[in-house]
Amino acid sequence: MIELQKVTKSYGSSHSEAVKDISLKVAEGELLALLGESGCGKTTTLKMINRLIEPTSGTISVKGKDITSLDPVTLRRQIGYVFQGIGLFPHMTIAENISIVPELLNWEKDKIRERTAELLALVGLEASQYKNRKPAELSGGQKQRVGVARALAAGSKIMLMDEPFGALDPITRNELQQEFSKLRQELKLTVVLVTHDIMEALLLADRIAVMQKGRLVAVGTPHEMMSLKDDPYVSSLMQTPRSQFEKLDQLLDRKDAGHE
Amino acid sequence: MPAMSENLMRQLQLLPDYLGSHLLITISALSLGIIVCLPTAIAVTRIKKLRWPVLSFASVMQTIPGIALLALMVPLLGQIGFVPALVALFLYSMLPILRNTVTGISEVDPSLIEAARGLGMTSNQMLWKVELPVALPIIIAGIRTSTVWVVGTATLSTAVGAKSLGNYIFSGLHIQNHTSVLVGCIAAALLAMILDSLIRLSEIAVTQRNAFKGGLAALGLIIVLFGGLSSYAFKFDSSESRPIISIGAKTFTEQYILSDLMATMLKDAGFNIDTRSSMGSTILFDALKNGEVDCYIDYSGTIWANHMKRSDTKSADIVLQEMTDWLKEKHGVLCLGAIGFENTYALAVKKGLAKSLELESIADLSKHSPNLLIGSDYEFFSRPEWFAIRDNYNLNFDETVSMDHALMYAAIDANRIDVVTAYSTDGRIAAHDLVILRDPKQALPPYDAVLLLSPQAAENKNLIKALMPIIGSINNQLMQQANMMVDIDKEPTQKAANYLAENIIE
Ligand SMILES: Nc1ncnc2c1ncn2[C@@H]1O[C@H](COP(=O)(O)OP(=O)(O)O)[C@@H](O)[C@H]1O
Ligand SMILES: [Mg+2]
Repeated sequence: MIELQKVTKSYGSSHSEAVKDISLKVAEGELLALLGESGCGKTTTLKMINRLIEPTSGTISVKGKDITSLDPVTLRRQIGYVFQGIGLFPHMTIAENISIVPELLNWEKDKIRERTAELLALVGLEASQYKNRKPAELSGGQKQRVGVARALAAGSKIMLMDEPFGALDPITRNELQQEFSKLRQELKLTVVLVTHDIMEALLLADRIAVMQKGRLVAVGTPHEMMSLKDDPYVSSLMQTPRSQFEKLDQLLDRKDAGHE
Repeated sequence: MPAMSENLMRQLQLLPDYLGSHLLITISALSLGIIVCLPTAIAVTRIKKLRWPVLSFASVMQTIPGIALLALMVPLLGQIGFVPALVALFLYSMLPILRNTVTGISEVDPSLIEAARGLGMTSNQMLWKVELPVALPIIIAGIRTSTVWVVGTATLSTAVGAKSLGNYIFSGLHIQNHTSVLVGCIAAALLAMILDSLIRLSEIAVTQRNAFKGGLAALGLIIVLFGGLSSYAFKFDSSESRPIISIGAKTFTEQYILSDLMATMLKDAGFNIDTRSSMGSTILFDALKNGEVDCYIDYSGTIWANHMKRSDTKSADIVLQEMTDWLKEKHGVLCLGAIGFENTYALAVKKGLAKSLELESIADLSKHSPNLLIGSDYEFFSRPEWFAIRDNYNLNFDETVSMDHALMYAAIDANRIDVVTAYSTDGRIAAHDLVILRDPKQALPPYDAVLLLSPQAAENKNLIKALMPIIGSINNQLMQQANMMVDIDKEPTQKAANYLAENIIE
């Protein structure tokens, strides 16, 4: 569905590349997590897929077509994008924010209205209550939901999501992650999810691509990642969830023991 | 109290005329400002190279004092009245609109721009759907600032011959009619506040999408426009086919009285007239040359020194003759003749000071001048007449103080200045216990009041016939009486004009 071949991006004349020689495939209906610490080039990689950034070298294709052969505006309207920091327009109501792409595609008014209500329901917001509010009148979690609804609005099957559940409290984050997991399976979405949260990647992704300083260091299923031993960076990365699991295990054991 | 309210009533009768003209200039300048500046500002945010030159130009326009900008437009555009006022005020309105629009658009959160792009908006759609709406409050704030500035500065368009609420202020200041000044200031302030609130209301209506508030704002604007302009439009409508004779006046009492006198005489002769008072001296002469003003009273010495650039002094008759010939040949302007009185610049001191320092003529001043302060109007110290007296009599004053003519008498009363340059017909010389110092060397040219007609008016036999009675009919004493009625007794200028008309020497 999405394929990157030897993609490199360097910003301006600075010698170090933000993204170096990345080759990657995302299959239809798959959720691929791009995992890595801040500044490793995840956002840059994601933006190149919908031509918000042009690669310095390499080719990217979507649905088998080289994206440089496509009009960037048309391409972007076919790919849902959830921005790091959401980027809801403050002067527009929730309904207007969600209907941006359908409007750009000149859908009929009635169809847009129906679609908006449907999407709000899909992301768990009561349409009658929220559609006429401004973004400032929503909580962080609600804004994230609207951001997802906006990305889904035109029915695109491909979603690019840049840390969509970051900056949320753990309870809300967990709830949203679960709901999204269900949603993307129902809608059979192909998703590239950028995250720096190892747990999130392990829990949501079909496959994880680990980036370090602009390079792709490992790709595999969550299970493969946990058992991968030969890459020192990946195993040190996986050390964190592993030790958390152990600690939790201990806590659970003690609690169980106490009851007996 | 009755006198006060009578004065107020008289002022308020002028309101439709002044307000209508003021509103027309203001709204036109602002509309032009918005129509030109919004697209320019948008272009500036797209083409970064334009930013510096465009904003610098607007800033420079802003730093030029309003009165100077207005006055500069007159020679630049070669006309007086509405057009130079419009252009100057338009230039004046630019900066806040430009700067706020540029700032507003360039400060839109970049993550919003990126989101707009990422969702598939074209650059145009981004502008209309995101950048302009997000920047709207800042853009509107700029327009509101401009509105308030332009309403205020438009009062200065009086000086370039466009009627405005400034007519109240200029004439009120010069003839010390405080009611008139207050009416002008309050009307301008109210107009600024009303326009400002209406724009604010429209903004709220747009951002809240409140049709009721939108309707209210639109209704308010319509009321202001129609209310302000109706009398004005009506005046144009009812003006018959008779041509309008435009009478000019400079900014001092005598000029207001004489323009009222001419207006009365021309009205009686069946002419349609229009008075343009409180105009700058050189602007008025230029306006006469190109026929935008048909007639006004000037002084032979002023023409001699300022326009003919003569620094030699000749007798009154020769000055009058040479001036008449020069005006005719050079500009086609007709000098209909001398009115009969002379209004020269004269140096005056308090009687007490004259006695203690034994001052009798300007020559006696020279040895005392280093210890004395001299005050005059804004023009005098840069006029050739001043250089002539200064050099002829070796004057070397401690300080020269420029101030409004009307304030000079209060200043000498309060001993803030020792010597004033008075006009010899000024009724206040006697009233303030001043004595005029003689000019034995005749350093100052003669200042016979003369009636000048524009080249077009010079062809108009009926006009000449109607104005002829003024020639040679008002002597110094009569003019001084009339001036005193206004300056000391606070009578309206029209009353003084009527007094002159009754006492004209046949
Ligand atoms: N517009 C830009 N200009 C120059 N350098 C940039 C730009 N955007 C990102 N970078 C640099 O590229 C690297 C990768 O950035 P990014 O892709 O945003 O990382 P991540 O999303 O993984 O945190 C960083 O070192 C960052 O400083
Ligand atoms: Mg990032």
